[in-house]
Amino acid sequence: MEKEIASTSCPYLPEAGVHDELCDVDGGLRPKWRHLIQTIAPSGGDELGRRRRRAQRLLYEDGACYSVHGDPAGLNRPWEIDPVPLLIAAEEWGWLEAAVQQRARVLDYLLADLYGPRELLQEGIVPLDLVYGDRAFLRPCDGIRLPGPHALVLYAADVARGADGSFRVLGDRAQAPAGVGYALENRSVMSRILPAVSRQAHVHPLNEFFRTLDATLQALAPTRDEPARVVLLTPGPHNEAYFEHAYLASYLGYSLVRGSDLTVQDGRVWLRSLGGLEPVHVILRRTADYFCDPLELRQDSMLGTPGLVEAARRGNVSIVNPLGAGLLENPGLLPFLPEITRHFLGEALQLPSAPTWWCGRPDDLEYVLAHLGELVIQAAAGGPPERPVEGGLLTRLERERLEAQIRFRPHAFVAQEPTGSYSVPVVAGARLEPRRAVSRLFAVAEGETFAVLPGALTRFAPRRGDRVAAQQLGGISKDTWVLVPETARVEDSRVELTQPPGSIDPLRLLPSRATEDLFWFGRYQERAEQGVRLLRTALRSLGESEDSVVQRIRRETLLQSLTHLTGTYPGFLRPQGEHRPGEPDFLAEPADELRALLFDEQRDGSVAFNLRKFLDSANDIRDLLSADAWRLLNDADADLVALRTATSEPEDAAPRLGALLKTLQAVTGNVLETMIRGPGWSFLEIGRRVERGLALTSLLRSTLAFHRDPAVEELLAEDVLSTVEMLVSYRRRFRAGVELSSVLDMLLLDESNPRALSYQLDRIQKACRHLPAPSDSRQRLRQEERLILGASTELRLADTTSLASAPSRGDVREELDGLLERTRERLASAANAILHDYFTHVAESQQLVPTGTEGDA
Amino acid sequence: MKYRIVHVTRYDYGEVTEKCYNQACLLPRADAGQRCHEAELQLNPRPVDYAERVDFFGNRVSYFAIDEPHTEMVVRAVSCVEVGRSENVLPSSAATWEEVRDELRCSRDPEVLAARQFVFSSGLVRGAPALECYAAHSFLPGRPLVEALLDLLSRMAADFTFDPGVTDITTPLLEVLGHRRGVCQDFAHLAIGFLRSHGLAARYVSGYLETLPPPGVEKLRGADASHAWVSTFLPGQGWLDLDPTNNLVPRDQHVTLAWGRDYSDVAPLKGVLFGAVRNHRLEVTVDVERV
Repeated sequence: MEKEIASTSCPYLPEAGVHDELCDVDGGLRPKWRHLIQTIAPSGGDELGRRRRRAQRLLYEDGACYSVHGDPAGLNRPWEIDPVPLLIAAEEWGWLEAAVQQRARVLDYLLADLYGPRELLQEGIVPLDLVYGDRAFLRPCDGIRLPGPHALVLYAADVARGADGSFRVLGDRAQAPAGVGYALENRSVMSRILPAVSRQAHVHPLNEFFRTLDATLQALAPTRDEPARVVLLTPGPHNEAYFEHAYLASYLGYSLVRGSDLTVQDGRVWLRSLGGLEPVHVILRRTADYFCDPLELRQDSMLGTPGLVEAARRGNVSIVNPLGAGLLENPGLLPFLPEITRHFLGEALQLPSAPTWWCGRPDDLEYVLAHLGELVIQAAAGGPPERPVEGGLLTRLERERLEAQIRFRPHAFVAQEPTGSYSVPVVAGARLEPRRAVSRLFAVAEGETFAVLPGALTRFAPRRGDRVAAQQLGGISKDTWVLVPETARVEDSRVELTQPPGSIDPLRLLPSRATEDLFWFGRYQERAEQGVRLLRTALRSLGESEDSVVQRIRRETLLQSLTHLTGTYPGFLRPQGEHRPGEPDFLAEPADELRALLFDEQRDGSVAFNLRKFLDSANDIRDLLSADAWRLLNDADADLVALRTATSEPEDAAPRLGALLKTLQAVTGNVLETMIRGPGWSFLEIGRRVERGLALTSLLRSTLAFHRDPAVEELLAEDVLSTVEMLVSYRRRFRAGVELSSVLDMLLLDESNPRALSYQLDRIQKACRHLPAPSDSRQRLRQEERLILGASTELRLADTTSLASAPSRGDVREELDGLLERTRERLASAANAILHDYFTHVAESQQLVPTGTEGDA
Repeated sequence: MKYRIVHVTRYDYGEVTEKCYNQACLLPRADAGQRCHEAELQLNPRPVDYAERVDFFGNRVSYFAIDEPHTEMVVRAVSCVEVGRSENVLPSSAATWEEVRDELRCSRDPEVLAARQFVFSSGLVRGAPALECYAAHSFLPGRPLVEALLDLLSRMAADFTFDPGVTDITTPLLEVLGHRRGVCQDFAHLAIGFLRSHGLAARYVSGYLETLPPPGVEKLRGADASHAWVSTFLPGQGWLDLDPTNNLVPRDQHVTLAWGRDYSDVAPLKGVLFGAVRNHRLEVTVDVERV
């Protein structure tokens, strides 16, 4: 059998005393694996490693990530997947599915009871401590009920197998169970790397579960009078599972919203969209419940919507899972679950919990204190310890301290046997090795019971012998296949979600915050690109070997132009002779400043800064971008890293900047080709055109507005043309040498030239016409339109010969300079007017100062 | 005794606020020793949305939203309450504090179960050894609970100084225990901490105290204040109020507004506002008038 599962001479050796999924206790291959192992193992060589790398590549391309707070690797840690799925045989699944359903039903009843009659407390089945002593019990949410038979809608269980192979639950997830989107993404990757295998192996598809989820959520709408509007509430891009929020929102077709995108009026919840307030009926919540309403729950929350609890209380919105559901995650409830099950269902609990002791019971306390070294200690009531503590890893002092804490407040502690994981085969190098794993199973309310996702998110420890922390996602995962009996056939169909009847104005689907994000996405994209372009030109001029006065003036002009364009003052504009001691003359020694302009992420205006802002703004609207766009955005990030590592001298960067530029242009192209031309697009387009116009006016003012020696002017004109990628077109059109008035004609006035100023103004005017009219505006033209019209009119009336003519006195072409400056001002004001007209309606919220009782002696 | 109570809270934002959401706990609840004849909130500006409910603890809570630009909000709570507590104070129970503690822990009597939630830590009153330590000098082994309570109250009166300038709502309890200065809500929280540290139920009572001017002096308008004290549970006898600020057992000069685990459950007024307000000023006046 070793021959079958390992392509090298090293055998597959499970740990003693740990249930292994691949091998039975005698080392024999379990029958359910036969087909898969036969298919993937004989290919030999590094086939497994190849598949693993391909899987990783696909995840990277999809932009799948999970970020961990305080993770030194940065906010976005790639989601990792092992190419060998975990298999669950059909007969195992039949039992497991029913057992998960039963557990979900019990917790559903328990939640309804704890926020309702609280019979279990009165009858002494659940100790009061585990409810009234737990911060997760949200008293303001007492008595709030969802329409329909369920209190709990979504449920997840972290399961493993005991040494005897029986399944057991390590913890219940009911707050806002995470991971189902990652499970879906894992499946999507697996079906691409093992397409034939997954078809032949008869694997249960996942899409039916999401159809059920959608139908369940729609049915929870409190009203039948209008189409149900479901939104997915996220804490935002800083949440570790934000990828999943965006992924699910776009998969299910829900608006991805943050607390500040919603508002409560007349006790109902509304989405702030550009088209006005849109009613929201159902909130799929991924924000922890206590953060959801700063009025009634955590007052310092910046993630919530004031009045949300009141809206739920009045039955005007259904929140899933309901606020307060986090109470079910108290591990102290685990020892009481068999009794609770008997109480509600009159049955025995099928899927047991890992052996757990709640120190609030004297017998349990005694046991825990006597066996502290063998147990994992957790908080029962949201207090310390914040993470589970392995008693065996404590020093004597730490152990004594923990003992004292447990004795002082026994009801606040829970201990669990750490045996709760089983091992699964994973690819290590070219072969399979066992790793400890935990699988998360998901259920959603359906009819009177629950539908269970036929699959799971299985996470495993990176090293042999390590355990998996069940609480937080992250780590490496693998897809989990539920095998279908050979006799049954499962058709894998695309998910057709039931869209609400009637088409909805796209204006009303987007939170206005998202449209503002699109505006900034466009601006930073263009800003990053323009910075890269001019840097490339400036770096080329530094590489020029000829050392003449003409070259020096050209070089210095370009460097100073770079400071103007990027707004990184004083930079190369520091007056000669005003250098502090020890500070280099940047014009003579530009390397340090150029390096900062390339790589200093803290420097506002640098390439790295603009790129970071661009990627951040892309992350804000992740659900609106295609998977291909994400692949390109990841490439842009990688390009910059590659540039930094490969560049010792800034001059070396010139040829490599091309790669970054190419990626940025590919993003533009992708967005251009994939984004629906709605109001969101108009904002993106205006943002980009404004920024391109600003860059062009800045470039021309700082180079060609100066009257200089004809040789210098010709060189600079060529530099300008090549910066904006117009040199070839210019030569084709004019053939003769570079002449200023023709250059200006091409870059300012030519409305057919997508790089010309007039073209930008024309595009902005067109896009402005597609913006919604602000409600308070009765004027025919809004301020931004008037500004752009003014700029466009002045530009059209300009005469390039006159603009290009030498000044009668001084060395500045006043007419050209003035025109460019006025255009720049109008563009900047127009951008501000748009921000003001459309995006300033959400003021920051704050708490009233509390009315303390002044007291009375 | 019958009182007419006018409690005015005025917020001056200094800047325009577009919108605000508020929750008030300003309508007196009924209780064994008092009846509330009438109570209403008068709000300016007028709210677009107003709703009253009874909260988890049985208090009367008002939710209201104001949706018009305003720079000032005035919340005027007017109520008429009849207090008749003088007969049933100081129970004759001889139960020791340990007996009460154990009954709270084990009894399945619904009334005791309901009281038991006030044994656990709450947001503003977290258990700490220092609290247990201070209280232990009053909760001597085998001592009758009532005796221990009265002893605790008089020790607190001797050890702590009423000083309005030292603390605010955010001052941690252990800090107050350290410098031994504060106002009624600090002392109420401390007393709660002392009682809970010995496994007893303690709740925070928010309300009013009628103040009487010295003989011959006319009472000033707005001279009264909101007040806070504690209440502890004696199985079979119900809840016993204790005023640690004044070292007394409340009789008919204390008017109960609401109760909860600590101040945060019964804050008279809390709210979230939207606008560029930087520093807003708060002014509270209370009149408790005999009628």
